[in-house]
Amino acid sequence: MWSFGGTYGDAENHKVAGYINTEDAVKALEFYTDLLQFSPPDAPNYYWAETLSAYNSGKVAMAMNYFAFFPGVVDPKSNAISHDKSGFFVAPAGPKGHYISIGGQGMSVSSYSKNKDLAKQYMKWFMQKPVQEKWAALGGFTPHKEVLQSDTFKTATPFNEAFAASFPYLRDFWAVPEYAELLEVCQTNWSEAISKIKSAKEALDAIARKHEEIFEDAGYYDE
Amino acid sequence: MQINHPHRMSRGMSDYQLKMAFIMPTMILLILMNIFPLLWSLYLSFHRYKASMPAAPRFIGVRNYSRLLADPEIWGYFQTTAYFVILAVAAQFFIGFGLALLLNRDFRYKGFVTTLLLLPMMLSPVVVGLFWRFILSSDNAGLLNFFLSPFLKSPIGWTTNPKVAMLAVVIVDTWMWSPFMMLIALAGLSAVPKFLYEAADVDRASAWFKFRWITLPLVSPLLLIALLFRTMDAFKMFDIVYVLTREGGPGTATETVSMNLYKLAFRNYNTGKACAMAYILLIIIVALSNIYVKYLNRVKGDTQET
Repeated sequence: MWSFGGTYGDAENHKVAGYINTEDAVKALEFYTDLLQFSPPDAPNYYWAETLSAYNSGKVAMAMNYFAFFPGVVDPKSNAISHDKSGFFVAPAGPKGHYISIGGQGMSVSSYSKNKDLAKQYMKWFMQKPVQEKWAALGGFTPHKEVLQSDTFKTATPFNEAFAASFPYLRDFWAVPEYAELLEVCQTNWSEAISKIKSAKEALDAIARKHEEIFEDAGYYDE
Repeated sequence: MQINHPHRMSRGMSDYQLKMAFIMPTMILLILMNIFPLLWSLYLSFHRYKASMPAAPRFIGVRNYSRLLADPEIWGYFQTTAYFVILAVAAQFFIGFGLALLLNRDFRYKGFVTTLLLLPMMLSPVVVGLFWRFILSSDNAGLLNFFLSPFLKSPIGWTTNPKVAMLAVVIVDTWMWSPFMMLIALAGLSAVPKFLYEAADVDRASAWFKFRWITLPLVSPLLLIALLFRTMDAFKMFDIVYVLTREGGPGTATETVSMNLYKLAFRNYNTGKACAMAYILLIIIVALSNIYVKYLNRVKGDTQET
């Protein structure tokens, strides 16, 4: 969506209508829906595990998935067919930009925490270069710039180089406590668009409406 | 002369106290597991509250209820649920009653056949959903599509085509729960006095006459009880949809009210709204059950008069 010129909303005022349901976003969802013709018949019901399974079983020649699942691609026990023949590449650019949704589990400090300082100290310790190097050696993905661009990290697995190359294009979903609720609305409506229950425009209009309801309920529009 | 009090079983404790001592553990459990959650969820339904946040519940009156009742998507889920309930319960009724009629006679291996027919009901719904997901797989690797492939131009998207997905759920639920209907109907059929059929035979009554005027009236109270149970169960069905169509997919084609309630409560942690939704569902089920029970009492009254 971002690469087509769309966006989830305004991060400052949390307005969604007019951002997620623009012409560009509609084109992006229509393009995504069109890709289904190249997928197996049961692809609309695929989640990460099924996508991995479809690739590992040789059902598909190419698949998009989170980096976290790529160890399963290169493990001979789970991918007897192509574990040593698989390559990894950066998601391509779109007509209006190059952005990649790299999922991950972020660290945050709850505003309700009674140990905010301790939590921040932990985060500071975790982000130190030696610690991130050890984390990467254990198979973790790192946001530490130096470690990310080091040869040690890039050569640690067949897919780390693609990860390091993807990072400059990173964009992510709303980083708010209502994340799960907002994402669920998107998943439901995108799924309806893919299944042709709604058109791309209808799906995105519904997302805009529901997201603003969620933000309103959570008090983001209170003055 | 000393009179013994035979009902006084223990010294120091009265009959009443002893009764309460036996009942109290169950009462406490019932209050903790049923009554308290019922009252607490009713309280939360009038508040904005998220179980994932430490913020205290904030009173918002009937806003949760008005938002839900004004949301066209919620009515869509109710429609989907009604569609499922009507189709599934009807199919289970006809198949279950039909099987009971066939089994209501003596034949070799009757016990073995009855046990086999009861097996689906004994399986875990999650296991049933999982293996039916493979059977109904939308490519030709799915067993059903494989056998139908000589007659079809392309495989049927049982769980991916929104027009067909609910039918897939109905098929699985019917496969699983028709034996329940069969069991209840069989119990009813076994209880019909044989002399009524003998008397009808003497008067040269047709098979349809015997079914319409002897079998059906005498078995209908039990059939209605079975229908009541299956309707209540079908209304709150969750497990098969969760596993078979991945939480109500494709899109929201199979998203029932229970599935939506689960998402509200345990995916979005919108606890206040989920409690309100649960109460709306409770009121509907109680209303439907009351209609059933009134009709059941009427049928029972008619049967007794006959």
